[in-house]
Amino acid sequence: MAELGGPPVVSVSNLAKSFGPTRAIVDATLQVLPGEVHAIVGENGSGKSTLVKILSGVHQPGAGSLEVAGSPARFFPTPRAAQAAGIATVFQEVLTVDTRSVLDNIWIGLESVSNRVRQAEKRRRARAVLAELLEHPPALDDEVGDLSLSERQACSIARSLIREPKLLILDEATSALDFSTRSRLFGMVRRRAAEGASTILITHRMDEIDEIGDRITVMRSGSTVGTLARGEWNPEILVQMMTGAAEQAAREGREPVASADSAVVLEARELALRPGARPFGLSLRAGEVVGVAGLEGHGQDVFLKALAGLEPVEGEVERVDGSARHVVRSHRGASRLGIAYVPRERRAESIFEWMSIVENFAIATAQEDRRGPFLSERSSSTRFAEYLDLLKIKIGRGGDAITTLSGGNQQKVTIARWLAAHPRILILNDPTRGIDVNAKRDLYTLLDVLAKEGLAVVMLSTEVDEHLELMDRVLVFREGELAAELSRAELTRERLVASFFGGQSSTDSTGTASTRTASTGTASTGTASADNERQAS
Amino acid sequence: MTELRTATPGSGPASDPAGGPRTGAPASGDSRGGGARARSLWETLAATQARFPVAQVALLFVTFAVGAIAIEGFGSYNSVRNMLVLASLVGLTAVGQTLVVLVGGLDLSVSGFIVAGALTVTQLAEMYGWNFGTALLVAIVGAGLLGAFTGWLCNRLNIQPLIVTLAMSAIAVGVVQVQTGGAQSGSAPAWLSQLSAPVATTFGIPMPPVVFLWLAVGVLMWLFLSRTRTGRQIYATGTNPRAADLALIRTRRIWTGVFAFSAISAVLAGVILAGFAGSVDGSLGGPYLFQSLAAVIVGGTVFGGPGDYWRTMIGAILLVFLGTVILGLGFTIPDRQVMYGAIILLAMAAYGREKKLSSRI
Repeated sequence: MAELGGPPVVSVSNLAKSFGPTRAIVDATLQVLPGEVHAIVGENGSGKSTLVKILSGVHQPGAGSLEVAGSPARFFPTPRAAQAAGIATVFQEVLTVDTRSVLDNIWIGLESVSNRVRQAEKRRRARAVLAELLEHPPALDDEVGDLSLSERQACSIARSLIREPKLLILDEATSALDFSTRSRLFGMVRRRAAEGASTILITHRMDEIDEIGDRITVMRSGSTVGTLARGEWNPEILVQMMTGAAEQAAREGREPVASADSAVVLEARELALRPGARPFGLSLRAGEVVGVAGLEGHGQDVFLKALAGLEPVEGEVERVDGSARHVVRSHRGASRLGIAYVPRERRAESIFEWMSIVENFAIATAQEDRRGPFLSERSSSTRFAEYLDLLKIKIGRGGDAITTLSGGNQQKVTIARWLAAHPRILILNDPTRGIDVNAKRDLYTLLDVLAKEGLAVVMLSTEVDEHLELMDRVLVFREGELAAELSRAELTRERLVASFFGGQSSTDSTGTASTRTASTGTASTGTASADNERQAS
Repeated sequence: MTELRTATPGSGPASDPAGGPRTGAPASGDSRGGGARARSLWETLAATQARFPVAQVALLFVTFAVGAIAIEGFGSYNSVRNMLVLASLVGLTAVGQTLVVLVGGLDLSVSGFIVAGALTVTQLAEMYGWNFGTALLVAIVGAGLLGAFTGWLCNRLNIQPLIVTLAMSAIAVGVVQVQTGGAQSGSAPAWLSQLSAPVATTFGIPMPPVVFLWLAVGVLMWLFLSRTRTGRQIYATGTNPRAADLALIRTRRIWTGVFAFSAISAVLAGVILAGFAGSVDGSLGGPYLFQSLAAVIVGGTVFGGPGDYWRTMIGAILLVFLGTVILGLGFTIPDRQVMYGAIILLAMAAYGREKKLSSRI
């Protein structure tokens, strides 16, 4: 880090931000010094992204104060205001206009009628930034849609760099980059640091932080819990700070229902979730509740969809029913074989907004309500009534629009929709996301009841607590591969979170190995131990 | 930039990502204070309007009252009967359009299929010596195939039905006109004309059969949409195609079927119109394309639902009443066109507002 001194580039203190009932940021304090690379780490949903979105003018905070270059300032009302103050942000989502040229994409939003830059000047500066960022930069007139994902993300990074910001924020922006581009980007970040410009780096990769981070601020449940300077951190300390392990008492877990004698209901063989990924297998027993975990976007979603026949992947998913075996080839086929899938995005993938509660429930199983050519609403309502108690659904009248219900109750109706198909395997894609605590509790109870009835449940969750409390075992995904499989007995908060970040999943981790080797060594050791466990069970 | 979603789900801020940070689940104790009273009034109005087209019915009565007061003979039995005949014709051309709008599409081939249907049963039948039944069957099968292809294509390639149906309209008319050699004459059988002749009676009732036919179609459509599984699936497909797919609804079949149905219903409407107009030419369908769409929209059926055919029926009657009053007050047909256009814009603006509200509350 360049020791430049001077007041912090930006400094926020006691920041708070809520979205409705969700407190995204409870109390955050962050100081970014001139010329430093400041990493922010934390679990999914700990508030990192909200924090940088406030700094970028995307969100307005509920409380808190901001200082820019040492003097008090108002929070930025718009992204444009933040940019004017010298803050440029690159987000994880690759944001390019695919039908326009590389040049246009780099200069987009920078020009206005009053501020025109000469074409030759534009080309020269765009070329310079791209040449530094990419080993083989594309031609400026190429259409961005024809470029690779990594190159497109490089274009959006170039868009930020060309503004020569005082503070560059990379919000998981490196995940889409290939190795060479990432190294070059880090080179540029170092050069910028030497010139006194600062960078905030949000990443899930410890090796990246070890490579260029000067300081780390750790966030947990919406609060910043501490800032560490280089040399003060190691993986154990970070995991402990992220999970608050010392403060959290171990919670009582669910009593497992399935045993080694329970019938196998589903087998997956040689699944590769992306081309070139290490294939893995899985065998699922009746009454088992299996958690699917990992950092966002590491293959968990694809895995669930593969089980439900929604996403073709290499390998085979086979439904086992006694001696009968059927390969799952399509979503419809999976459904016929007793595999039900509850999608992740409630609003976009499950809810028929203006239709009634009962209609929303009955839509996938309406054939059961047929009386001659017509549907019997009484039949739908009778079927639905069975699930009202089981799921503790609170409704006024079944004829009311589904949107009159709370998110939690909407989710329960969606789950009831699929339970009504009498599945043997229930796949839940993050079912408790964005629903209130009581609804979550109800779902946990439900899972227990279902498991006792012999249903096999595969559930993706982004909440560590859910895995600890509910799951018989947890599959951890990393970079499209099964990185670890933790059995009930091995399941601790530290171990689970460590396996997200590529820490070793076995207890013999002494902590002497540097983070870098720990994270690069993950894939092999993690998968090997998972294989062993699977063979043992 | 504000459209960006955070990459952290779960307990994170974007816990309801489809809604984004601006909206919340109904019970989320929305933090946006102020305007609560105004919103609840709007809510009540919108909720009532969502259940029943109060505004349209009110406007219907007002229009009728204005017409009865200002225009000599407007309220007479004959005048009302004539307007109902016109409304049935508009309504019958809007049967398929209603379903297409419900699944979230738009059918501009209505006019083409009206002409194709009318020409087939008049000229082609005459040229090839087909009897009426054969000609009707040929028209229905042909239209069904073309329409099915339209729906399949739009859904498969995810393209705008606006363009595809426009093309299909040209094809439908073209295919028939090639056969007839472009000669645009031909007359409908007398019995067909009796179907919609204002002076005709139905089993002794002094009202032409087409009005009763329309009523019967209305009842059937109501049963179909509200009481059958396919009807339910049409609604679901329009409301949320992605969720419909995931709920194992064969949405491509729905699109294929709905567009086939729309083409066939336009052909049948064309046959009835041929009887009403007496002679057939290529311009027969034009006015009805616009009016059928206007009836659907004005009735309160929204792209992707909610909606219903009986709403379209109210819309058709309202349009005919309004149009008659306008002409009766001394305005011209072009004036009426302007008014139709304005009404569609107003209706769309109102639904836009309503939609926003419904996604907020």
